[in-house]
Amino acid sequence: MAGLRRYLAFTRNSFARILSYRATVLMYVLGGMTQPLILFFLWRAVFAGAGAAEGGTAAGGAAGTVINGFSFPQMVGYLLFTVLAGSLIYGNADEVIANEVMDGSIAMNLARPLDYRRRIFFDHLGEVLYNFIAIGLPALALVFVVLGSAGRFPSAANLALGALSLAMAFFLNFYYRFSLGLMAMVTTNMWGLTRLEAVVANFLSGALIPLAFFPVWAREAVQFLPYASLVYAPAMAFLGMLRGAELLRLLAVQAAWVLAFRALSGAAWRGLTRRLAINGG
Amino acid sequence: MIRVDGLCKTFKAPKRFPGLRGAVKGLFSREYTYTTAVDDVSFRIAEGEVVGYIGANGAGKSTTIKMMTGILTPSAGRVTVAGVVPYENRMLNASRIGVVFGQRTQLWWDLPVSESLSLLRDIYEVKPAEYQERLAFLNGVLELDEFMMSPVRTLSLGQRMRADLAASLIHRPKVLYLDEPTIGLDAIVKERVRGAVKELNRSYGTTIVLTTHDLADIEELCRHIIVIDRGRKVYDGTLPELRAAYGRGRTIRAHIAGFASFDPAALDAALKALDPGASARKEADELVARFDASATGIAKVVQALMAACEIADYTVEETPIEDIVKRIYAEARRDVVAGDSVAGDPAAAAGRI
Ligand SMILES: Nc1ncnc2c1ncn2[C@@H]1O[C@H](COP(=O)(O)OP(=O)(O)O)[C@@H](O)[C@H]1O
Ligand SMILES: [Mg+2]
Repeated sequence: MAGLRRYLAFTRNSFARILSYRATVLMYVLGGMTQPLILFFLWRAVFAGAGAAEGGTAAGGAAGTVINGFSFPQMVGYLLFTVLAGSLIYGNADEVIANEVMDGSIAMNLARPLDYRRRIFFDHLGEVLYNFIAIGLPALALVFVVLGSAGRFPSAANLALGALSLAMAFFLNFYYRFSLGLMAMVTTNMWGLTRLEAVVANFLSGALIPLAFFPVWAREAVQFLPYASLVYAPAMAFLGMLRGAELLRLLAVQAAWVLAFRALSGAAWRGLTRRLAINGG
Repeated sequence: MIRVDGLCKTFKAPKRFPGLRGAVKGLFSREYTYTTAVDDVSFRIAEGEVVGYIGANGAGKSTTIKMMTGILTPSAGRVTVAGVVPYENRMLNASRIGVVFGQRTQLWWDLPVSESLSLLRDIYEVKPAEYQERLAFLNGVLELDEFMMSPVRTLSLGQRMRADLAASLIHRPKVLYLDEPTIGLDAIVKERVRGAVKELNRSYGTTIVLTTHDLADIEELCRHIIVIDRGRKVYDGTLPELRAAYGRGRTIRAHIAGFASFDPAALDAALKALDPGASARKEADELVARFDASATGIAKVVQALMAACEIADYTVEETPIEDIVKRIYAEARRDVVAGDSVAGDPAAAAGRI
């Protein structure tokens, strides 16, 4: 792509920025690990309990127990996968935009020959790259170890579909965050909005519990929300938990959301820049 | 080069209410306050001009600049810069212009100046050879070397401004917008910034639009000046024309022999015969004569002075431009109050510059 170089500067810069705030980022990472860790112990207890109820010993029963299609190693694989997906959909493009709008520095960026969304994308990319290297790759390695040792190693097709689905999740997340960030131009209460959004996203994306555990009616509905496309869809594709038509449907929904949010963020940008007011001198 | 026609910008902001209760109320209120920052402004700027855009705080200078640079879309009216409408074709326009906002930096806070400049080189796709050449030029006029390797956050305000100027020029823009470039700078740095602006205009014919409320900037740099007050254009012309129209007052300051025992009463009377508004009096260690140059010639006043005392040396001063601009504001406000119904409190705002 022509002119890519001028945007790569932003990736380089945001990567460097993160490196210089490593300590802060590490705190976030460790904070982000607590949820999967707690969930790990929770699921271990749940699987052990279910195994015991089925008549096995409490400790041994876990290995053979299957709940809603998940064996214990698959559940651990799922949890680790949420960490991997989380690293790719981390990045806070929405905050970056909101801050630029609030402090008015967006003005300087609009005075440059740069497409704003593309610039934010490459900025975002630097953060995601760092997260992927620092968190995503180790999590991926662990996924392979856990699934491999349980004889559940993903097939080549699952790996390919999982990668495709992850890529879509990454783009969807970016367009979604970009749109959310633009809300800063119309609302003065960004903070409340993002808090609420984080809780909703955590639950509906499947990061907290696989959607397979939702009641059927809820699952059917939630699967069509964009959140499911962020974590649940790539995880199911990668782990090979869904096949055929069901999997294709999930991927198609994902692709549709990517395109929809791409269009939405573009339209919102064009609409809002017209009425944009720049704060400060 | 730049054409501005009937330009208006009205900001709409949610109405704010005082106190905590007010903050909550504000969340749900659909009431808005409207501020008209720029009100039907039109002007032309020719290629290669250095234009002073003058106005008090809040007059609408920055808002105009933001519309000229494509950052804001006007509520009404139209801007073209070198044939391009900035807010409709932002990217193309942005590649041809440079902007410095005195109150904020365009540099990367955590990076050394040199890194920021090379990022900008990539963004504007400047060829390496040209980049080196421009850097050498900028280094010559702005003396960047001493802080080239320092992170921007560690720079003094003056250094930062020099770095920002360099950053806005690395792609050799056709038009340079400087929004209060000397705000908060000390005299030496101000002088250097002005020198750089002059040099740039002279060497490359860059069109420069300068907003400021430091009128010394204007006197030194601009021939063409545009004055705006509360969003409205109140003057558009050259500095000599402005002086001819408003600046007829002159002041002669003289050091004279026997100052201590000199009585200016007779001289004062002699001057009043030439120009009823004239005066002569002692101020500190100087004899000061004030008169209107359109009522009497300077030569006549000097003659009267020489007849009254022995002059060691003297200087003739024109009306300070501050005073001229104050008069423009005062007249514009009088017109507004007398003319249409635009609300305002001229007494409270007058003299603000
Ligand atoms: N983003 C904004 N929202 C609401 N009002 C604004 C905004 N920006 C500027 N204004 C108002 O518009 C007027 C002109 O501001 P500005 O152009 O910054 O003046 P100047 O640069 O001449 O000091 C001021 O009254 C200011 O309060
Ligand atoms: Mg301003």
